[in-house]
Amino acid sequence: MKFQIRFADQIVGLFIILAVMSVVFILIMMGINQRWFAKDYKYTSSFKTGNGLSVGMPIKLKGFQIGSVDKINLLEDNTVEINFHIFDTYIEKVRKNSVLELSVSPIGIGGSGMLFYPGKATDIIPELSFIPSTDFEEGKELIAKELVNIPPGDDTILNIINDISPLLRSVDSTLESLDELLISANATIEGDMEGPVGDIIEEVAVMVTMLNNALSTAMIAANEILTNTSGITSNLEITTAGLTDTKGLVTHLLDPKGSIATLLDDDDELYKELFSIVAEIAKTTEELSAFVKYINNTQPQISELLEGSREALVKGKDVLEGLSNNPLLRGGITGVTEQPTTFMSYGEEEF
Amino acid sequence: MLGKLGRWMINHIKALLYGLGFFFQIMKATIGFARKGQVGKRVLTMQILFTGVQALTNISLIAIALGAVIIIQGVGILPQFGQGDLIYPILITIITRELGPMLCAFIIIARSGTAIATEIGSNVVNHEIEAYIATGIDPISYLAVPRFIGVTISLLLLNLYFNFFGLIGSYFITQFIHPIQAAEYFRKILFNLHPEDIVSSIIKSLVFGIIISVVSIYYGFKVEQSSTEIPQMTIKAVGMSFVLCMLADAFIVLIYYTLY
Repeated sequence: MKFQIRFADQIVGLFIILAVMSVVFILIMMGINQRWFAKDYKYTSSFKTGNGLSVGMPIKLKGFQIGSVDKINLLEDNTVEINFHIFDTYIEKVRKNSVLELSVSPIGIGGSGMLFYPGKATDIIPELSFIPSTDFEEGKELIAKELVNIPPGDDTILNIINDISPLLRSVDSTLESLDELLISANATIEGDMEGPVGDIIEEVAVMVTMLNNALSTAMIAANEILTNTSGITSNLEITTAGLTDTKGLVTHLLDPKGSIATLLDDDDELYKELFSIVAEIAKTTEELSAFVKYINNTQPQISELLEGSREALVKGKDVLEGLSNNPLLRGGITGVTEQPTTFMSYGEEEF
Repeated sequence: MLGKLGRWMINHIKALLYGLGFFFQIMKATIGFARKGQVGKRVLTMQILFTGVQALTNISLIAIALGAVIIIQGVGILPQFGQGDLIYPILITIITRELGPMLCAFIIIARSGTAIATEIGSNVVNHEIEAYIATGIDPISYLAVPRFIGVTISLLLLNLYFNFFGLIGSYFITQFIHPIQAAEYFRKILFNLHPEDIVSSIIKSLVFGIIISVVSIYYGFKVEQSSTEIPQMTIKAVGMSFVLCMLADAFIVLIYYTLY
């Protein structure tokens, strides 16, 4: 703060000078950009309507802005007069027989523009002169007499046609591509096409053939089964008919004078005999069961007995061998490594 | 009731006439300011320093931010409607013609308008005004005129800086978010910026500066005896400055669109 107060005059002076310089700089740049210091040549023209016209509208030649519209007036005879200027750098283009055209897009897209067509003459039109437009006969006549140098690209209709042609070419190309795609699809479906899809279709065709053969074989077997089934069904029908027949086998069997009735009519002798046999079998089974139970209970003692017998036999063998190897007889008893028994009772098992 | 309304009306007309008389008194004293001594010019320098230089940081930051926001929003939205080039007239309308002078005025009201009203109110309460008169110093010439000129010039200069930073400085901020070709941007800005835009902006800032300074000085001198009147008059100065600036802005815009 002390610095600012001490140098207040200098700071304020710089503050003012920089602001003024920035404004001057911007004004100069604006002047250069907006052609304040350049000479413009003023002309007039007329049109049938003011539709599409606006103040400041650029006047273009081959895409370059060569001037702009300054003023638009509706005259007593209901024609529209415009005042416009041409930049000094393009004044040599404003030759005798030059024409103006108001180009309005027929489809309403892209707005409008003022086109300048220079004349083929060499004389430059003086400032403040009238330059005809294509709205009136004067301008059309100059074009018809080919006194105007109209660039091919500046014809509105031609521009539209030129714009449409690439579009049509693109559509045509797309249709061709679509046609090729459809042909390929048809060939693929018919199996003539090489490639993954064609291979798949071929494999599917083989599989269908194999399936057809398998089905034919299966049909033959099925026919045989059906034939057998038919025979079985016929037999069942015969059997059923026999069973249902009142004079058939069942009736004979159930008849009191039949074989079964005669066999069974013995005052239960057969039944009693069968009953006593079954009772004997049951008694034998019970005894067998008791024996098995006893055997199971005495198994440890038997095992111990067998083990004792084995040890006695080993010792007996040793005694016999000792006797045979007696030094007095042969040379003593041969040492034998003791082999423990591999058998142990469940009661000796350690858990 | 009718009598009350009549008295209210008469009082307001009297106040308005008094205010106009005060304004013309300041204008009259301003004409002769150049012939005054070094003391008055020193007060003017300090007023420009406090009102203009010290507010430059705030003004430049606001201008850059506002410009960047307009460019980013415009560049994002307008090309969707095929009106991408409309960003330049919008930027100039907002920065140069409308918000630039108005935002500068608001900042000056908040910073300097309140300070002037408070300072002059304190002078009145402390009987310094009576002392100036007793020693033959005109309080209008010594207190009011340097502040009047200082605030008006400061607002004019701040407005120019606001335009500079808003139109040019914001471009560089925008490059970080939405790059635009520099040559195209500045060419189109300069093509769409017209002298009438600059004149309108300068007129607005001058008028706002006059309103803020005169209203603040007026309410500062309106303090009579107690120091408790000072904040009351300061608030009134702020409120009245806002209202008059808005009305003046509407009036100038009306004239601008009538002429162009």
